[in-house]
Amino acid sequence: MNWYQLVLSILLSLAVIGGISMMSKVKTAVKGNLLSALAMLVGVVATIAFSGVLSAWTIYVAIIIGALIGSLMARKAQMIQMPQLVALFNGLGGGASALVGVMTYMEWGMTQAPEYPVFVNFTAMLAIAVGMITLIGSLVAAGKLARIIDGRPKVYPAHSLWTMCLLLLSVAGIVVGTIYGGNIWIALATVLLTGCFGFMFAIRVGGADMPITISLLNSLSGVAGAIAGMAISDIFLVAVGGIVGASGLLLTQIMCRAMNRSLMSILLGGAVKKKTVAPSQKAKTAVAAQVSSTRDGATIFDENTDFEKLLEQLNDMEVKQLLDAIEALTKEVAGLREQLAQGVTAAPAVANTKEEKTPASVLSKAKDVIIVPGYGMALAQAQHAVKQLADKLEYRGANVRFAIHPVAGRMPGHMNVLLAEADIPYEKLYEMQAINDDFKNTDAVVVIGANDVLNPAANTAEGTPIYGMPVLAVADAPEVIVCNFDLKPGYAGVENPLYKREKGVYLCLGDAKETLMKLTNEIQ
Amino acid sequence: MHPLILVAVFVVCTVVGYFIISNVPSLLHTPLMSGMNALSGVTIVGAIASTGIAYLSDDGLWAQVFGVLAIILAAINVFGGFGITHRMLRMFNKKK
Repeated sequence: MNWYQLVLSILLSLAVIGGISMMSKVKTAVKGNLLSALAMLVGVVATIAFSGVLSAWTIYVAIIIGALIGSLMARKAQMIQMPQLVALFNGLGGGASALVGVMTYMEWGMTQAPEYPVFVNFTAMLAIAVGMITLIGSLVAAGKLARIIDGRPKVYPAHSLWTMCLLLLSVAGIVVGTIYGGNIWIALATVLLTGCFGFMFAIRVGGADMPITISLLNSLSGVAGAIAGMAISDIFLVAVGGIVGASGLLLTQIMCRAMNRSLMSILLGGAVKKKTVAPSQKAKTAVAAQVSSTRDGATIFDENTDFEKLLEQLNDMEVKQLLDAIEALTKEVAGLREQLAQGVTAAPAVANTKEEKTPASVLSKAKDVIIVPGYGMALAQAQHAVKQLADKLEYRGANVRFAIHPVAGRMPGHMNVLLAEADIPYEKLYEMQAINDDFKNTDAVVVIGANDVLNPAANTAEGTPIYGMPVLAVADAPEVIVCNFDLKPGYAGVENPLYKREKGVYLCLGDAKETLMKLTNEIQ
Repeated sequence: MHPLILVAVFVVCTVVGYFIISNVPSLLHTPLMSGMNALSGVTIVGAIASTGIAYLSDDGLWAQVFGVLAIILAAINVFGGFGITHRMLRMFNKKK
């Protein structure tokens, strides 16, 4: 490598760093992205010129094919598809690094024998391994997000054992490859083994943990590039790969903190945890069904009650949950008794107060409104309906803000992009820490397709997947209007006690787009 | 180039990257991730050099198959990644 090549590499790396730091502000972000892209372009042109491969026509054909496919995909994609698209692109980058690893290991495309053959063999094999894990892992993640394959965590029999074996065999492949260079069978075997490992690792991660998996894979694809760069001793590649690797890791950390989960528990324990929760959840709903049946009939248990079955279900529950259930039952009975005591006269009074306050009337009076959007809003394609509602409220003089939970959507910052698509100015989007204290002072909160991120059970329900996760303090608000599709528990499978609150909660169930349009029209 | 220099460059860039990224607000995390993603396609530089040299030094058909495939994959990553990032960032700035 000549000195001017070295200087150019350093300059380009600095340009990339500058480009990324410009992405920390909305105003400069577009230019930052262009600067990074420009640095990449110069890097490609310089590589073609300096390595003296101007006359190799195959590279131009390949670049044009890739550029056409990539540009077309970028143009066609919708914002809601962003997570799977990023995962897919990411995987392809990893795959390219793995292929470069194979070529370097086979000493294809080298002008002379390498100076440090052991280092080159080792990094080439490592590039194959990390690249293949990224490729297959990302494809699985993209498939899950696009609902091509089942999004739930999947655990095969002896899953951990198989994963462990594949990992050990992959390491063995890297070691053998480091010692014996230039053997295509060792390279292909490692490709296969690490690919299988990538599959086993990604298939057991569930949809709610996907944002974290994507940012981890993003980090890995950078690392794969950096290692491939070490194998072919290209400083530019090593530098950019290192930056990408670090950024992905940092984002992963931020996400983990926002969800109150450790990385290891997501990669290893995600599916196992769900399993232990499932039976008691079932028992809980059974008890809840029993409780609700008392509303219609006068007695709690009648001759139709299957005591044996109930006992069996109760056996499944842990002591604490059992106590909770008993408590709920007693409360229910007390409530019923009270209702009976109050007699029939109380009933119309309740109906009257309900008539006075409708979601539309609450919003008509509100001077300060916070909107909490969730992934359900994106699924219902209700972004524009949300914008209309916000416009109408603002036209009437209300102050409208949006509260965005860090893990709302399917990747970090996904919700911001979806709202930006609907022309909602980014100054109105507030992060959780910035707005959480304002919920108790606001007039009304409108929840659209969000559940887990505002579930107050996260503070109390020990042992559930969301316990300890920081949530939006929607429960503090005096009036809450919930525009969700249904009242089913969200992805985490924990019921939201907010929906059962007696005062100030209005449920507008159904398709968010339609409910919002109706609501907007009703506001006077 | 000496392996130690390469490893040192990697470590330095990792640390620098870590600090730059921590300044980015969560508002911009999706475009940031997709921009990073585009940058991870930098491996295209390596793929081009290897494939080109393999072509000129007649390393055989398989070298070309692997190399061309590597360039195509990396190019999709680069063009797709930068393209979609640009589209997203423009949405944030639409009003101005």
